[in-house]
Amino acid sequence: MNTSTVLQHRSYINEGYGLKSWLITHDHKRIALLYLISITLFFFVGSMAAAMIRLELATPSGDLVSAETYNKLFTMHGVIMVWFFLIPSIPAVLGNFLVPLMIGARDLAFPRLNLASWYLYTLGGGFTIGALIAGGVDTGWTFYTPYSSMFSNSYVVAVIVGVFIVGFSSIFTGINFIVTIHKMRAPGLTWFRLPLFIWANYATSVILVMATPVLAMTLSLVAIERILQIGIFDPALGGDPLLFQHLFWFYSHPAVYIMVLPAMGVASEIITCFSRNPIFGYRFMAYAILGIAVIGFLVWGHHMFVSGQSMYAGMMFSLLSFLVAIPSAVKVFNWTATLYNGTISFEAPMLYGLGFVGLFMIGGLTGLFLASLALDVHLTDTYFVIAHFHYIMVGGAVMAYFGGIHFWWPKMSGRIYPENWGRFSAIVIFLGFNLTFFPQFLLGYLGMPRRYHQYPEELQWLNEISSAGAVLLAVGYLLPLLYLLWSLRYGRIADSNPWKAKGLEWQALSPPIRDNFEDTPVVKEKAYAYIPEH
Amino acid sequence: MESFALLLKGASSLSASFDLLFISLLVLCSVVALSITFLIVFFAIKYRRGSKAKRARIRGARAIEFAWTFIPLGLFLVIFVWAAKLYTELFRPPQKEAIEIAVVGKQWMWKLKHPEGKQEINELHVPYGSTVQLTMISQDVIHSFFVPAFRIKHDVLPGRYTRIWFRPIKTGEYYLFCAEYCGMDHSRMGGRIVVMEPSAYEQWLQQ
Repeated sequence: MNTSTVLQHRSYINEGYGLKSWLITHDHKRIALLYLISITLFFFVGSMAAAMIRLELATPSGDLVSAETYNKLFTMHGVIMVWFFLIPSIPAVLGNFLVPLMIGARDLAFPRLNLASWYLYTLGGGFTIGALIAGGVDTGWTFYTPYSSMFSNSYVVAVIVGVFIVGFSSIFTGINFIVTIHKMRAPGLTWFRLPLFIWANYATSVILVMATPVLAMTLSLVAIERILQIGIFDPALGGDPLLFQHLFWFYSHPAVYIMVLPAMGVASEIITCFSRNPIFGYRFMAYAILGIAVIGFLVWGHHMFVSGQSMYAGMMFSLLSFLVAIPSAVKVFNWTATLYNGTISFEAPMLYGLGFVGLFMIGGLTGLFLASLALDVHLTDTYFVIAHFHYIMVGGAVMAYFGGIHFWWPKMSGRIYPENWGRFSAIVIFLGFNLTFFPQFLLGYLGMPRRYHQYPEELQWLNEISSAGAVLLAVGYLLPLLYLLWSLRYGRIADSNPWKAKGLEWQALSPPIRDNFEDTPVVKEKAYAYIPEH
Repeated sequence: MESFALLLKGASSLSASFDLLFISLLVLCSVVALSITFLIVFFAIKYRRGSKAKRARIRGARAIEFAWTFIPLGLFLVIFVWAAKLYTELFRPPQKEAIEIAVVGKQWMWKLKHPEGKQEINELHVPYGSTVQLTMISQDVIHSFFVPAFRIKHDVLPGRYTRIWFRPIKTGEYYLFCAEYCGMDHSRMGGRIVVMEPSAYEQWLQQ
């Protein structure tokens, strides 16, 4: 069947053997794989929690697990998926692997800092998992005060320490990308010749570096109030509970863009490659990324329209939220226009890419409902919000992540994944996702609050559809795990550019050598220089 | 509270204007979503590899970009103003004298007190047609007073009064939920709002 099971050249994979050669590596590609393995573990831990949640919600009464356990499950799901999967997913795996390759550099600017970031991630993950094994935490991933600081009897501080530590791994990655993209681009690779994946990771890095410290401070303040009883957030001690929400969302809203901007970058690479067309409106796409990153810092108060924040503050945040939707809309239009006059083929990455555009669009459009003040009053804190942000983060970010993994799998592993399995699982994930989350829009509109262990009986049928969809989704997520692992040994050997794509990373061998390129490439053309058939 | 309903009954003076805005935005977004989906599928089929469709260069790309930047902007501004105007009404109860209810949230129950002194737990009886003003505070953590049928929700904070009002226009029983996560029995912290005929309400007050 396969002509060769031995990789031909000396690549980053077979350059050294043994655990030690991986654990002390400074190679961005190896660190990317370390991240890939760790975040995959966390993805399945977080998914197990989600599976338990959907199982519990299949019936209206709280019968499968206790209320306390249920609360710990959704907290664990949120904490793990946000900080240990979504935020590092595309930047720390695909970004780590691809940023130097795409700009023609030999490595990131600070290889040791890069390795340190993975160790911090692991340490933070260890703290968090330890706290979850010890008994868990029941505050929700949002840690709202004064519940988290004064009332919860769970392992709040341990989880806060875990999230605090993992925040530094984000900051290290962000600093590394910013410096690398500024200083290490290949000759001729000007800013406006950069692939959009690089623009997206650049903007993401700026957000990581600017927003993450605020999260660290905020969570430290919760720990200080909890341990030392110094009044910061609890009014009984003289604090202000809304102060926490302002600080928390000042990080956590930009964090949404940390998750979705890199996904937009991946989608741009895939859609151009499989439609053999340059991206439509390259400059507008680049500016849209920057626009989202900047305005994204000014919209945090839209999480607080019913919190007791002033009416006029609500209006400003609402207006700014509509403004941040413009660049997102522009991106959707441009991806669609990129298909126009293309020569389109439908390999698995493209199916993920097109799925990303559709689901991200629904996530974005439902965001308009939540940005509309009076509508948000009814919809906030219901399943409508859950559905909305899962369309962005799972339908958007996770679809793009899977698409990217398939797209660059030949480059990373030197092997081709089985194409039909890839297409099949992309379709299963798309269907399973919609079946799981679309009913939740209806549930939210009908008034089902989030974080509910039990709910009114007349909402059962919608919850049952959602739970059934989750089963399908689980199958869709397990399949790639199996066939990608299979392909590592049995997949066809990939040549350096199996998709005939244009990025610099495809000029390197598959898998690349330790220093990526034999000779530093010189760039003479724009990004996505596909030649359309006319 | 009938089963299998996809439309949420409205029972307050504000619910009709909420529904109008909601449905307008739903129609707008559905048109956009369906158009884009149609275009993606259409292009994907028409320009699939191997198809003989003519592939011409797009002219006026810059004008197209400006069009799809500024047309959505205009629409967004309309929706923003519409929704914001409705939002201000939530802060301004009608001038008429209102029934002042004192609400205390605590883990995990609602305590409600009528001006006449009558107290209730997890249930609020009100007459239809009158404005009801709630002055709310929490004894412990943040809760949120949510009545889907009235399209109102507001957080209930410790150490600070928040206010919200509604005017029921239909008799019946409606769900009351706590919408802000508040600990173990958050999902049990609810009850019902009973909207009665004014005469029945008077009688109930005397009981």
